[in-house]
Amino acid sequence: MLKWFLRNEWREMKRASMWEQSLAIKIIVGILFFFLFLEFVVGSIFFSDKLTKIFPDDDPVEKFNSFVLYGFALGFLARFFMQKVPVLSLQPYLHLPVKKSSLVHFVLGKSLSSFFNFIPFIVFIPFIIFQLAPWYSAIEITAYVLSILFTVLSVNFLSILFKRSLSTNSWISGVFALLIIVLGVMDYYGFVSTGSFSTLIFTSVLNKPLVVLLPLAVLIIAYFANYRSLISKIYPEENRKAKKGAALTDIKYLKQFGMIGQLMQLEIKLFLRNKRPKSTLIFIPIFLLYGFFFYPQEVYRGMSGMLIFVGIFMTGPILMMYGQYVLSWESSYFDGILTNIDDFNRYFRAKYNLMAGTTFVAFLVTIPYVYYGTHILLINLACAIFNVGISPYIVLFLSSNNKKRLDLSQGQAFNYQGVSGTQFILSIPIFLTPMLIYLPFWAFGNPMAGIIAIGVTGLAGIGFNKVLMNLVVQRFERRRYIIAEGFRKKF
Amino acid sequence: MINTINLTKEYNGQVVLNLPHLFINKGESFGLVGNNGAGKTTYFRLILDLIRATSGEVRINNEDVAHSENWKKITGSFLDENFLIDFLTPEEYFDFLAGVHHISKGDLENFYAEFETFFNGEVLGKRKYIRDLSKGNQQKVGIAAALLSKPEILVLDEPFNGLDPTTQIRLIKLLNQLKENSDITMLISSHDLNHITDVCERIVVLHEGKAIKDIRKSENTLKELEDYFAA
Repeated sequence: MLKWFLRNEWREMKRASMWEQSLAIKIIVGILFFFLFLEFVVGSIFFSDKLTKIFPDDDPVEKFNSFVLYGFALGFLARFFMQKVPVLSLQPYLHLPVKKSSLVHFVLGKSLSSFFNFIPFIVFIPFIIFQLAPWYSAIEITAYVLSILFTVLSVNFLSILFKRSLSTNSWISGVFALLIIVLGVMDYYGFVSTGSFSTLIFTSVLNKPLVVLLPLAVLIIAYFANYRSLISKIYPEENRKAKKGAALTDIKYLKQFGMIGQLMQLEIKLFLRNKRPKSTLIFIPIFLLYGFFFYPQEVYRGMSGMLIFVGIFMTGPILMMYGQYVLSWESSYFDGILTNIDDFNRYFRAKYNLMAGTTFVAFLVTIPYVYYGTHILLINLACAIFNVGISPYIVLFLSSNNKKRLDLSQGQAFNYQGVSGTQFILSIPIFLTPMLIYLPFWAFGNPMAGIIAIGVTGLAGIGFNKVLMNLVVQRFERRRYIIAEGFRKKF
Repeated sequence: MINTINLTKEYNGQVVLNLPHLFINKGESFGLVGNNGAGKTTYFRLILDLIRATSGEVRINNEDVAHSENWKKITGSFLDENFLIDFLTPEEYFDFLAGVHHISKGDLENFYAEFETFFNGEVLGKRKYIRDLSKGNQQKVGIAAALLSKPEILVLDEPFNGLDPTTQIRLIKLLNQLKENSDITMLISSHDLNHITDVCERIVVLHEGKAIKDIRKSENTLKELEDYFAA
């Protein structure tokens, strides 16, 4: 039986929609993950090796151990967001003559294959090699490794339990993140020392190897708590979240704008009611806070080119996140759109209004950055005008390349379903065009004129909006069969 | 009203539809039957300009559907769940379509009243998104949505599929009333020979993309169809 489970799991993994991507996407995603992995490895080796130099006053082992609990807390948080709870996959087996208890053990065992369980080892192995191996005995190191292993697994099972019992309310994870920050700050100012608690546990393992029984006990408790909770709720319907009544929000204001207003309202609802678009909204603050990474640093403040990049980025969060999947968002009802919409000029105008409107709001939000200099306000204004006049048309023009159905019910993070080359290409012209406009002016020693030129180009785009929109619609009309056919293909 | 001229559709060199000539008159109730893969949905998608014809064209009111948008104003259609905006409630969906088709609030109210029996109290006022409705109720929403704009042409692909018996009977009654009280042109496909003969006055049998029978309905039609498919 176990053999069959494993075989089916292997097939499921191999046939996941994530792999059914074009080779180029696989390579890009592969490189991305490879670098992420490499950064982890190099970072941890560097950190472990230089520990004594970074904290010359402290014992390196104790210092490292003081961070361990924080590391696990962060891991817990990351799992809460991204690790899947493998319950519903049981459904096809429930009617077969298999003991329910072995099903549950299998599901719990399966969760061990999550890559979150492997990350800690990338961090710990260099530390063990550089800082422990020379000083401690084999038994002491074995006890340490085991205690780390048990803690990783405990975190794995606790996060599953936590996620299952508390549903997926994201505010809980917000509270949790806040708790970590508060503990960290209190630690820093010496009110409460989570760090020394962490040191106490993991250093004492090294001195008294028997302490390893403590994390082992936590692991056993976490496993069986999970087991009991799962076996008592093994039927899929008991694990589904209770459906709330539909939220009936209507934006009355938009209704007066006829078909365009209706379409805008539809897109807003699409964003608020589906998991995938909704989960992209979390990134908006990151876009808007981008300035804080650059403006405080003297080096960047002088580089207008860099500031243009930041300006385009900050004034166009929706433009870029919504823009990369325009049309694909609507893939599940695209045939309905094609048979009901008889004026695609207005159809795309609705999308334009959303992008231009949110750019305007984003610009208002970034005004306080004027604190770092009036030229920053000016650059952001020019970029905002560009993001109203030109960028939306680039997005809409390229949107006709989207022909992959998008599953709106899955979260955004690490989700490559529906991704194609289009999404990677999209941002290039949006960032490159203003740079190219700016460059000649900068070369002739008049950067201010370059910034004004970006704004003027944006204004020209607003002036010639009908021409630009016609280009968008013409391209769409030519490609609509290809798009619709792609959208009809289920994953 | 709907003129099909030399229409073919190929996928990877394989002909899936080949209709040299088919004319559907105004007010006709046109039924399409055939086994899986016979080309029913392909034909409907070509009429609705959802796929590109390999050759030939479909003309509605003498305008090629691929190069005109006018037919959309007079055509109501529901082929499959790709027509439904599933994160809306049924009311929001109808409201959206009413906005797109410029239907007044009063007409929308009338529409709800007319379809009250058809919905059987399972669709409206439930505060549920369409995606949370059962398949049968989703089907009801789609069929009603196709009729919302009081179209001159109605295209339904297997509308009886997934409906409970009561609703199937109500749908037959609804379609027959429409036929009597208006000049609507109906195109309906089905796997159920009884249903199609209950509703349609003209029945075309598709087989491997070709129309092999084109029958005016008479008393013997059902028998004739049954004999054909049994063979």
